[in-house]
Amino acid sequence: MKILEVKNLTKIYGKGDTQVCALDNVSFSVDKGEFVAIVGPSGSGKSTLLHLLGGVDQPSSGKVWIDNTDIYDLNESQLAIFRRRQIGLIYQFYNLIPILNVEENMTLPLLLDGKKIHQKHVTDMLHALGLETKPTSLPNQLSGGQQQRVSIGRALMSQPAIVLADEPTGNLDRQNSEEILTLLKMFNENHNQTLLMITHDEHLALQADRVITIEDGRIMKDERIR
Amino acid sequence: MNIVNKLTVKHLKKNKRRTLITMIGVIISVAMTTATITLAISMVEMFQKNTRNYTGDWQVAYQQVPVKNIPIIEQDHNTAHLIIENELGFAKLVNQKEQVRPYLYLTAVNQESFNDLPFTLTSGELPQTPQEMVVSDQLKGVAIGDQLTLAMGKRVSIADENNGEELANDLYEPYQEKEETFIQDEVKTYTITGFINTERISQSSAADMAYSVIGPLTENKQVNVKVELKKINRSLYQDSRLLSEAIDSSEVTYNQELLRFYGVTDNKEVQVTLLTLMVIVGLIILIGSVVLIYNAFMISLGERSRHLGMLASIGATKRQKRNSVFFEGLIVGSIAIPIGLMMGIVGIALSLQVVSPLIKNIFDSTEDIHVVLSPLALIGVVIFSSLIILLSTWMPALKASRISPIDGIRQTKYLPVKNKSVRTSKWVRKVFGFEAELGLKNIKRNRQRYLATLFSMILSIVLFLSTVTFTHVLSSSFDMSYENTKADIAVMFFNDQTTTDTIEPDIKSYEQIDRIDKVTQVDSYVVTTKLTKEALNPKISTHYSDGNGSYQVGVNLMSVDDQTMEEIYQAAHIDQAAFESQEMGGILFNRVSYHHEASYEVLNISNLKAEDEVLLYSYDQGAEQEKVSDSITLSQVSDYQLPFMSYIQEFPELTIVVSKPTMEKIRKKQEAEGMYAGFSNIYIQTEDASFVEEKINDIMLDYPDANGHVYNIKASKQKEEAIHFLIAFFIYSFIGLMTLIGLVSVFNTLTTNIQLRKQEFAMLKSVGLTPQGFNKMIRFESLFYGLKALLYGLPISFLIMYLLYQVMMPQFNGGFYIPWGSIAGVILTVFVLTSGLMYYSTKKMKMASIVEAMKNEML
Repeated sequence: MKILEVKNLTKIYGKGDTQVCALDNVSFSVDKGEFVAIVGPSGSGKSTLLHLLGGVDQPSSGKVWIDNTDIYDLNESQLAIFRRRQIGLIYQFYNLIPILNVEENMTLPLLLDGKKIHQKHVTDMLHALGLETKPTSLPNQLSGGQQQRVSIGRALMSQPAIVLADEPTGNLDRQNSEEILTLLKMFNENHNQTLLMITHDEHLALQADRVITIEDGRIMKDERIR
Repeated sequence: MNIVNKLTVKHLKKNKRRTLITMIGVIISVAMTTATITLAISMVEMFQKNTRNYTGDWQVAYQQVPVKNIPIIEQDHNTAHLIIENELGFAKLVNQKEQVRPYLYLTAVNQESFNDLPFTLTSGELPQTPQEMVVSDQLKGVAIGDQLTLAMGKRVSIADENNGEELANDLYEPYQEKEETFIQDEVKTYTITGFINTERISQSSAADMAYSVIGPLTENKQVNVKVELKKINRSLYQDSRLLSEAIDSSEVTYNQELLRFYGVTDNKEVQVTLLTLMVIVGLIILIGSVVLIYNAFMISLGERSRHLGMLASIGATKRQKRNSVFFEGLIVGSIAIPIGLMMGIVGIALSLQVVSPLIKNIFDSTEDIHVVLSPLALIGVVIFSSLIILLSTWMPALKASRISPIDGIRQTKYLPVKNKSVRTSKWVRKVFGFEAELGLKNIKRNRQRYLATLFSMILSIVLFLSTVTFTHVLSSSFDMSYENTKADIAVMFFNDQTTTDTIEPDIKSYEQIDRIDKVTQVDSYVVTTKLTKEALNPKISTHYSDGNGSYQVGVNLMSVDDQTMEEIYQAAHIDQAAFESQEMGGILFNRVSYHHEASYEVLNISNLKAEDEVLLYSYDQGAEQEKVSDSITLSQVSDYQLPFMSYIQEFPELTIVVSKPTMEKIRKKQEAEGMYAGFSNIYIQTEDASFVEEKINDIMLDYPDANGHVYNIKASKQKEEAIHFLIAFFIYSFIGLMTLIGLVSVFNTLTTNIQLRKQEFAMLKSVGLTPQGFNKMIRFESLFYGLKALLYGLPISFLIMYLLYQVMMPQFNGGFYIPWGSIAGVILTVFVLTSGLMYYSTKKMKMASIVEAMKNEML
C-alpha cells in the first residue's frame, strides 16, 4: 500500500542567472511501514525534498500524495491540520519550544488539535523514550540526546502516516546516535511506522530497508537493501 | 576604534530599527527635560522683567541716606547701579482744570537712573535739568513744552480724630476728599519735556507721577538710594544690613517682589513647592526614560551575547565586554542628546508662541514671554540625560562582562527559561484553549522584559488617569462659581440708598449703548427668620440649629426691575395677579445649589408652601434682643432657579422675591431704626465687557463717596478659562510625551519578542499550528499583557486619584471624581495598542516561510 507518492517534484530557487534547481523532476513512492534512508552530499537537495514532503515548503511544480491526499491541494490551514495529524517531523536541532515542558512539547500536535490526551499513551511514550523521570522538565534542562528523544515523541505522538527525520543524529555523539536510531527502528518495526530519514552517515543509512541516493537534485540510486 | 567597538557599531547598524527606536526614546526624554527647564527659566525671566516694570530695577533700597555717604554705596563691590531719589512729594496743580487725581507726586532722581525706573517714555524727552520734568500721560490738558506751576506741600488730615496730622508722604495713600486738606509750602515752576506711562498708578491713587532731575544737594540732605546689585544671592540681606549701618540709613527695604523671582526669598514655602514640583517632574522623566533605555539595552545585549561569548572565547576581557555596552550608550547618547536638545528648544519656542498671550493675560504681565536659553541649564540637561543613559546601561554592562565563552559556544539564543516563570494555571487551557496558554507562557518567559513592558504600560496609565483627575478637579473648581451666571459685569453697591439713587440711573442710561445687551437690577436685603425643624430639608437643617429647638435661616429678600420681573413671571409660571394683590407677599424660590463637604446638590431648602408666613427678625439694639420686624406671606413657592442667584452656597438662604413697593416698605421701616443693610446689584450682559467695565468705572469716579464695586465676571471667566487651557496644554503635552516614551518601550519589547521567536513560530507551524491558531495565540498574548497592565495600573491610578483629591480638596472644593470616560478610553487604548503592535510585528513575519526561518536557525 502506497502511503507516499511523489510525482515530478521540482523546486527552483532564485531567478535568471542565480537560478538554482534544488530538486529536478523527482518521482518515487513509499509503502506503508517502509524505512527509507535518503543520502547524498550536502547541497544535493535532500533537505529540500524532505521539506516538500513535510508540507512546510512550496514546490515549483509536481505533486505529493500522503495517504492519498494531494497535500499541495490543501490551503494553509488545512495543510497545518494535516501536518499535525499525518506528518511527524524530526529536526537536527530538535526545535523544541523552550517554554513548554517535556510532556507539553511531546503532546504539542495533540494540544494544537484540541484533542483529548490519553494519559496512558503519553506515559507509554515517555517510558519508550526513557523520559519517564522528566515529564515536567524544560528543554534547556535536558541533554541533546534527551531533547531529540522528546522531538521523536512529538513526531510520533499523533501516530502520523509518515515520519520525516532530517539528520536526526547530526548533532549527537555516537552512542546517542545509536540510541536514537534504535528507537526509530523500534517504532518502525513494532508499530509499522513509515519512516523517511535523511542522513549522510553511511553506517546509519545501511540500517534502513531502502536507500535513495540524491545528487544535484536528482535520484541517482534507489536500492532496496533489506 | 578597537574591534569590540567596531562590532558594536556593526550590530547597531544591523538592527537599524531598534537603534532608531532607542534613540527616539532618548530624544523625547532629553527634549522634555530641555523644554521643562527652558519653560521654567523663561517664565521666571518674564516675571523678573514684568516685576521690574512695576517696581523699577533695583533689589535693595536704603532710606534717608545722607548725601555725603552715597559714595560708600557706590564703591561697594556688589553695586551695579544706583537710583538716587529725592522725593519732593505731593504738589497741587495751580490753574489747572479738573484732573482725575487731585495731586502730582514729584520725585527728583539722578539722571543716569532713568532707565531703571518703572516707567516708559511715551512721547517727548527725558528731563535734563532740575527745572524740567516728565509727567504721567494720564494728566489731562497739558502738552510738551508747557510750564506748570506747582504748589508743593503736604497733605494734612482734617478728620475729627486726627485733625492736623500730616498724611504719609506716600504715593499710595488714598485720597479722602472730605477728610484731608493741602498745605502749601512753596511754589515751583517746571517745564514738561515728555510723557510717561507707568504701571504703578492704580485707580485709587491720589496722585499722578512726575519725575525730575536731582539738583545740587547739601551733604547732609537725606535721600533714598536704591541699588541694583551685581550678584544676587542670599547674602544680600546680611551685606545690606551692614552697609546700612555704615551709611546712617534709617531703614533698609528690599524689592521682595523681584527677589522672589531670583529664588532669593525668605519665603521658604514657595521654594519648597517649586523644588518639589521640579523633583516630581524630573523623577517621572527619569523613571520613564530609564525603563525605556534599560530595556532597549537589555534587548540589544541579548542579541549580542553570542558575539560577546565568541569574543570571550578568543580572549576578550571582562572590561572589553562591559565597555562595549557603555560604548553603545555613548553612540546612542552622542546622536540623540543633541537632537533632543534642539527639539526641546524648538518645541517650547513654538508652544510659547501659541500660549504667550494667555500667559500675559493670566499673570497680568506687560511683558511677552520669550524663550530664554541658559547655557548652564542646557549643560545640566546634557549631564542629566547622560546620567539616565549611564544608569540604564549599568546593569546590561555588568551582564555583558559576565558573558562566558561557553555562552558563545552553546549558541543559546534564548535566555534560560525557568520552570517557575512559565507555570500557568490549568484553567487557562480549559477556558481559552491551548493557544491562549501558549500566549500566556510567552509573555512570562522573560521576566525582566515582561516587567519592563508592564511597567511602561502601568506608568502611562497611571500618569494619564492622574492627570485627567488633576485637571478635572482644577477645572471644576473654576466652573463652580460661575457655572450658571449669565451676567458679564456685576456692579454692587452696599448700604447706601442715596448713592444707588444717583449712580444707578447713570449706569442704566448705558443701556442705550448698543454694547450693553441686558441690564438686570436687583435690590437685596439679607435678614433672618426662624423656622421649625419640619419646615427645613432634613439634609441641611442641622446647619441652622441654635440648639434650642429653633432654626435660624438667612432670608435674601429681593426686588427686581419690572422687565426682569416680567421674565420671572413667565419662566417660573408665577400667578402674577395673586402675587401682586397679596399684601406683603413674596415668591419663595426654593431650589438651592448646596455644597457640603465634597458633594454638590441641587435641592429644596424648605418644605414651606404657599400661604405660609415667613417672619423677619431684626436685632433690637435698645432691648438687646431679636424681635420680629416684618412678616412676608408666601403667595407661591417655585422650583425655578433665578439666573442671577445660581451660585453655590454652603449655608443656603431662603430666596424670596417681593414687589418693589413691599421692599420699599421694609426698607423705610428698617432705615428708621437705623438697621437697614441692603445691597443693590446691577447685572449686565454685554459682548464687550471690558469697554462697559471702563465706562462704569468712569461713572463711579464721579461719585467718590459711592461704596460700590465693579466686577468683570466675563474677564474672570476668560482668565480662568485661559488658566485651564494653559494647564491642560502643558500637562497634556507632558503626559503625551511620557506616554510616547512608554509606548516606544512597549513597542521595542513586543516587536523584539516576536522577532526573536521567529524560529519558534516556524516550529509551531511545522508541527501543525494553523494561521487561525497562530492569530489566537498572538491575540491572547496581547490580551494578557493588556489585562495585566490594567490590573495593576487601574488600582494604582485610583489610589493616586484619591491622594490627589485628598491633597487638593482644601484648595479646590471638588468632589471625588472618577473619570469613567477616560478609564474606558484607557482600557480600549491599551488593548488596541497591544494588539496593534502585535499585529504589526507578526505581519511581516508571515511572509517568511517555515523553511526560511529554519534556515536562519542554522546560521
